[in-house]
Amino acid sequence: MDDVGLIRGTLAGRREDFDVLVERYQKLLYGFVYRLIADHAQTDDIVQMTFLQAYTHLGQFAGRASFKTWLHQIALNQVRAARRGQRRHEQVPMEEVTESSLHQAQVAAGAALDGGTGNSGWRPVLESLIADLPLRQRSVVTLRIFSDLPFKDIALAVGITENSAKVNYHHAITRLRQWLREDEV
Amino acid sequence: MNRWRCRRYRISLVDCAAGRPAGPERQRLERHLAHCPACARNLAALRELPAIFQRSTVADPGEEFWLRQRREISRAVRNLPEPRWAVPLAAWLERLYQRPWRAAFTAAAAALVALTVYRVAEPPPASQHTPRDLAALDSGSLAMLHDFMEALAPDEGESQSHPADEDMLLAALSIHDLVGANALPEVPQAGDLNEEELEVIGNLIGGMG
Repeated sequence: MDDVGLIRGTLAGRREDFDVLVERYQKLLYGFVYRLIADHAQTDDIVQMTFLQAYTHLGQFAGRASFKTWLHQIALNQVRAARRGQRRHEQVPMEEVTESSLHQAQVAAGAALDGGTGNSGWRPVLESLIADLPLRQRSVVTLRIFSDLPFKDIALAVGITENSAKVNYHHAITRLRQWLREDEV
Repeated sequence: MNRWRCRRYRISLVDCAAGRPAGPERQRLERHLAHCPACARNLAALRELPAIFQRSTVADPGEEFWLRQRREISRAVRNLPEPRWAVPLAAWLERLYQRPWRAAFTAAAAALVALTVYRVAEPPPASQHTPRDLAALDSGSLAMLHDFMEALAPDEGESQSHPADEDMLLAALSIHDLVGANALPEVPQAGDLNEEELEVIGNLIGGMG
C-alpha cells in the first residue's frame, strides 16, 4: 500500500498502518539524522520524536509534498532544536580540520574516484567531510544524495527556496571537492 | 575565472549535472564552461561526488536496534490520542495567507466586506409588482391588502374593486414591501408611520393620480 493509503488508514483509526510507515522510513530517517549530528543515541531519540510528531499532526499533513519529505522536514526541525540546546558542541570548524585528516580524505577520495579498492576505510573519512559542512549545506547534501529528494522537496524540508537549495548544494559540493582535491584549486 | 560571472551559473551547473537545462541556457553554460576551468571542475564534481558519497553508508546499528526502536514508537503511538482528519480553520487560513497571492485575497476579502456593508445599509429597492403578483395572492391576503389600502387612504370611499383600484393595490403592495413583512397582518395607521415613510407613500400615491 502506498503512503497515502497508510495515512488514510491511520487517520481512520488503524494504528498498525502507521507501524508500516515507521518501518518504511525508519532507516532512511536514521541515516539522515545521523549524518547531521553523528551521535547514535541522539539520533535514536530524534527519529522516535519525529515519528511521534508525525503521528500527532498527521491530520494536518496537507500533501503538498510527499510524506517522506514531510518526515525529513520534521526531523530537521528536531535536529535544529537539539542543536540549539547544545550550541557549544557545534561541528569542528574548517580551521580545525587537521592536515593529516585532510590528507587521509584526499587519498581516500582518490581511491574512490579511481574505482575504489574494496577497502571501506575511506567511508568514515567521507562521512567526516560531510559532517564538517555547515548545517544547511549538510542538510541539503544529505537530502539530495542520501534521501534522493528533488530540490523542490529539499526546499520545503529545509525552509528555503528551490534556487537557494541548489546554490547551497553547489557550495557544498564545491567545498567538498576543494577539501578532497586541494591541489586542483 | 570571473567569480562574478561564475555566480550566475551556479544553479545552471546543478541543473546541468542533473541532466537539465536544455535550450539557450544550456548553450550559454557550455560557452562559459569552454572558458572557465573552475566551473568545468565544479560540474565534474557535481556529477561525480554524489555517487562517491552514496557509497559511504552510516554504520548499521543492527536488526535488534531497529526492532526495539519500532516497538518503542508503536507503544508510544498507542498511548497518544488518535489523529484527526480536520485541518483547523486557523491553520488553513494561515496557509492561505502565506501564499503569494495573499494581497489579492486580502483585497477580495475587503471588497466582500465593503459590498456586504453597502448591501445592508442600502434601502431595499422599490418593488416592481405586476398584476400577476396580485393574482397570486390568496383571498385573505388580498382582503388585508384592501384594508391596508383603506387605512392609508380612508377617504377613497368604497373599497370595491374596479380597474383603477388595481393600481392602488399594486401601490399598497409596494408600500407593504417598504414598511416590512409584518405590515400586512398588522395594518398600520397613517399615524404609525414616520414622516419619511409618509412622504414616500405620498409620492407613490400622488404619482399615480
